[in-house]
Amino acid sequence: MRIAIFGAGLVGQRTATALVARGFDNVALISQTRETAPSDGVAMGQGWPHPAAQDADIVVLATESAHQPAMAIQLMKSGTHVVTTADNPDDVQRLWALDDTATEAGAALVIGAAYSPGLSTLLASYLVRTLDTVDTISTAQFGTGGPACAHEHHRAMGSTAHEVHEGVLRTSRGGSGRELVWFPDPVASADCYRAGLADPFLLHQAFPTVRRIESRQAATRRDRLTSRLPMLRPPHAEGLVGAVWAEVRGHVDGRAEHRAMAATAPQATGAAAMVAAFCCELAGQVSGEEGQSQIRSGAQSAASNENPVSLLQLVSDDVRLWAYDGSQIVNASGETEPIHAARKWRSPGENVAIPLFSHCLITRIGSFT
Amino acid sequence: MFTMFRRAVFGAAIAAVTAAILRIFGGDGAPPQRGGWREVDPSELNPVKHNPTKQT
Repeated sequence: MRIAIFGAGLVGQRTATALVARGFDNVALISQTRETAPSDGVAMGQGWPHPAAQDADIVVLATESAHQPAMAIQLMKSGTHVVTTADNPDDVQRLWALDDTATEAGAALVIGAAYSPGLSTLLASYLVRTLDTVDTISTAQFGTGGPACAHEHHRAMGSTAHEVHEGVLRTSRGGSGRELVWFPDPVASADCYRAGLADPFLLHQAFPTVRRIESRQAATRRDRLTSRLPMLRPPHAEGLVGAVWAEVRGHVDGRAEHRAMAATAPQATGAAAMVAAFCCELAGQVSGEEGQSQIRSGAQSAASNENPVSLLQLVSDDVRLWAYDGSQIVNASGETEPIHAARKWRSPGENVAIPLFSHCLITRIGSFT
Repeated sequence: MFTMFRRAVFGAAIAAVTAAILRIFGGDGAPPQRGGWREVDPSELNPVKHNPTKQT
């Protein structure tokens, strides 16, 4: 199985390393500038178009988001399966519009195989499929990966947000709709806001009857304040903490239910794990049982994937998965104990003094009147 | 006038005593700020149902 990766930024490098670690022995990383391989077993190349792309069974596009639709068209014409990491909602919509092109060419076009969209929509997709009916899907993301990701975070906060309301995709103001989201440690709680994210669009394509789909990203007050200005200082080389959160609300056996899951990993590592998981799945489909290709051609995403459990198992090599059960808390001694809203509800006998005082007080007031 | 003043003082005293009781014996402030998350082993993920939102 030959895989070519275009773009040797953080996600491209991590993807190459993840693919080699998963046993792919023919991985080429193609970049405009980089000349040294991120790990053993990765061949390096430069420029576009590149012969490695013509020979490859799968091409991963980890370049700038805006370049990916044009590159994908060119690759799919020769029947190459393409995995894209674009996270800009306009580019994601442009890629989704290539569904017919991909189907005609018999190629798979994976869209939004990154952290968010990608991991976030995969968690949401899994949770949706555990319910009987679904009313609401919410996702949120914390942190950024490399410099390109930080630029995208900045752009998203200052641009038009997308969400599904009453079953219709609509726009609203980026930076609005503050909501406190609880991520697993070490992130814990973070204020998240509407932003120009691709999650609602991809989730809407996968689950068109869900009435409400919304997505938020964590940001500070300074992020919001400066989001409509150019970035005031250059972004960091890599954000080391990242998390995505997904919650669905619906019904199971006629009972209202809400379920939440999260994933934690540095964003570039999580995005690379997502790409590697899709490559593993495509490679399995190309090989197929008895050597027959079972590839599902056309546009697809983590949200529309029919087997999210398999993808979650594949990404879990590099990403920690969490489920929120709200029933326990890890105390100072490292043991778990039940979690409650406040200490006074911990045991019925503990606060017997309050009803006793109240009773005495009421009796005393009664004697005055 | 004096009766009204006395009632006001009495009401304020009752409020102060009630607040003191609740402050001393009541719950200890904000609920837990951490926890509730359980790390999931991928092997314990349940096989999923059909897509419940798929239009037929």
